[in-house]
Amino acid sequence: MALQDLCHLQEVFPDTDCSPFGTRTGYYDDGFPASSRSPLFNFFIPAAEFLQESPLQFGQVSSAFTSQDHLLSSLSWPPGLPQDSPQPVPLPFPMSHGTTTLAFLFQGGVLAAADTRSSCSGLVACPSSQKVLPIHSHLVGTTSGTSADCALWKRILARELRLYQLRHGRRLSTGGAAKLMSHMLHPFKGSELCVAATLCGWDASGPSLFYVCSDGTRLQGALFSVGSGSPYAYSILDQGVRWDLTLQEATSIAREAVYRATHRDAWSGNCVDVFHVSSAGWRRRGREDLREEYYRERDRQGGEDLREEYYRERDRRGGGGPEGGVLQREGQTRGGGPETE
Amino acid sequence: MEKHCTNSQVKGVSTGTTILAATFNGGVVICSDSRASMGGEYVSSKTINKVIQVHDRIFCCMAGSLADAQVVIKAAKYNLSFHSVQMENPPLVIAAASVLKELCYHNKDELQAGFITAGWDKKKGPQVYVVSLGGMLVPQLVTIGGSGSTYIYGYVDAKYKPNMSRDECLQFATNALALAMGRDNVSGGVAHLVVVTETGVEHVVVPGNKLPKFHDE
Repeated sequence: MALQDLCHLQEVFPDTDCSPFGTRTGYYDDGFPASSRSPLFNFFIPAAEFLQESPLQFGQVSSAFTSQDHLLSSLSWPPGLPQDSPQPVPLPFPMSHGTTTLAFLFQGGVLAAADTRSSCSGLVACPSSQKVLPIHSHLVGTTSGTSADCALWKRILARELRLYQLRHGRRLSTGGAAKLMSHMLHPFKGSELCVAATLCGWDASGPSLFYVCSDGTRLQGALFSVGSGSPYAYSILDQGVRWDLTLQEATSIAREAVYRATHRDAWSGNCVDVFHVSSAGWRRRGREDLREEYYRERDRQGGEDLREEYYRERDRRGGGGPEGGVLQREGQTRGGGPETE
Repeated sequence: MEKHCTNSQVKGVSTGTTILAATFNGGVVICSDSRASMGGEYVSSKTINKVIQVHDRIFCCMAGSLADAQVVIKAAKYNLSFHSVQMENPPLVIAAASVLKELCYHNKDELQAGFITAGWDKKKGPQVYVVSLGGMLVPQLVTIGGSGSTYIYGYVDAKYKPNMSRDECLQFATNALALAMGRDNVSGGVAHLVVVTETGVEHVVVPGNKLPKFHDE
């Protein structure tokens, strides 16, 4: 498909008049910005060949959909809505959406971080999955939701961005990529597809960060955290993130936020990946095991359970009565007799 | 976003709140936000005080259904004053917590309220106890509760140290409340903080515009 596009394309320059397209109605030309006759959702949907049937039908794709004829008929298909909505096919196993991913802007570009645990029905399916996926040299996406869906849609997005770059001679901006992804996901709204991604990129206007979700949300912002562990990460991020952080400080805040979230959230854990996107492209920091971080923190705090020490100290000071655990003391006091002080 | 975030609404009668209690060297800080909301959409009061005094040096914070909590606290106050008359001594903090626990446990089918009890007594000094929804009583050094607490677990885990000074602890509590109020839509208003030490009780109110500001403000 890509090769056909290249061979047939003479109108690669974006400021060419679009009238030649009028003669090529049968052909599958995608959203050139000058194309005024295409309504909003005739925008190119790369998975269109599968959408003759409702997206709610899981995995039922006819092999006849690879020929040109079906591409033509898919153009006239009213976009945006599944034609028929049968009762949804039950999923083969319950999907889980547990993760902690975060991304924020700072003076050095965009920082993205995520844990590496893939969970499924209460067990850890993979302790070393990669949730921050590079899309092209200056764009990185964090994934949250169903891992399979995220991996697929990231690849589709990468393909479309590459095609755009080949056709137009320039890269699509981060905002454009976010819009493209959002429109590609729109036909699947209402189905079990779950993709919540943040796109972190550096384009001609500098660093930018977008949140795109399969329920249709598309937001631009300076800080996002997505996933079941995100509430736990937010407090660390809110109090630490500033524009003028150095790369070192930003990395340590991102790592700590993921670490705290993995400490509290059952579906996040194992290791942390940190990516940094700057004008020179994305760079990846080595994956770190958070178990080490836990032990390092315990050692920093004195190497023993501080709570035990505190209670021991307090019991020693509180005076009276035989020594013993806290529970024993409670039994005594409820008995009521005033103790000699 | 994820479905777990809306759990507090699914339960039905949550006040939507953020409450926190922490021990420091020589006392406790117990604090809360001041917003009462209905259904997560309507703020019925911007300035309620969720920190209730049950005895001279013992305070309670309520989470869950406000109505249930008020009734339980009223009964607890009565029980506690009676108990202290009998004992001819100020009640222990654990006594207050136990009274609440008994009420919560024996009426667990009807009630939907959890409490944080904190205070100072002569025997054990500053203490914090948590009575959860079903009636479990647990002593802790620092504890958070309410719908806004999910957003500050990370902060509390990272920043709380036992035996801080009074001012450090106040700053820690104010920051935590401000962070939670910044992310949780059903927590907000002013921050009510109560500092209980051997020498007395101090009520600090931090109005909304004096709360610490973070990166997005």
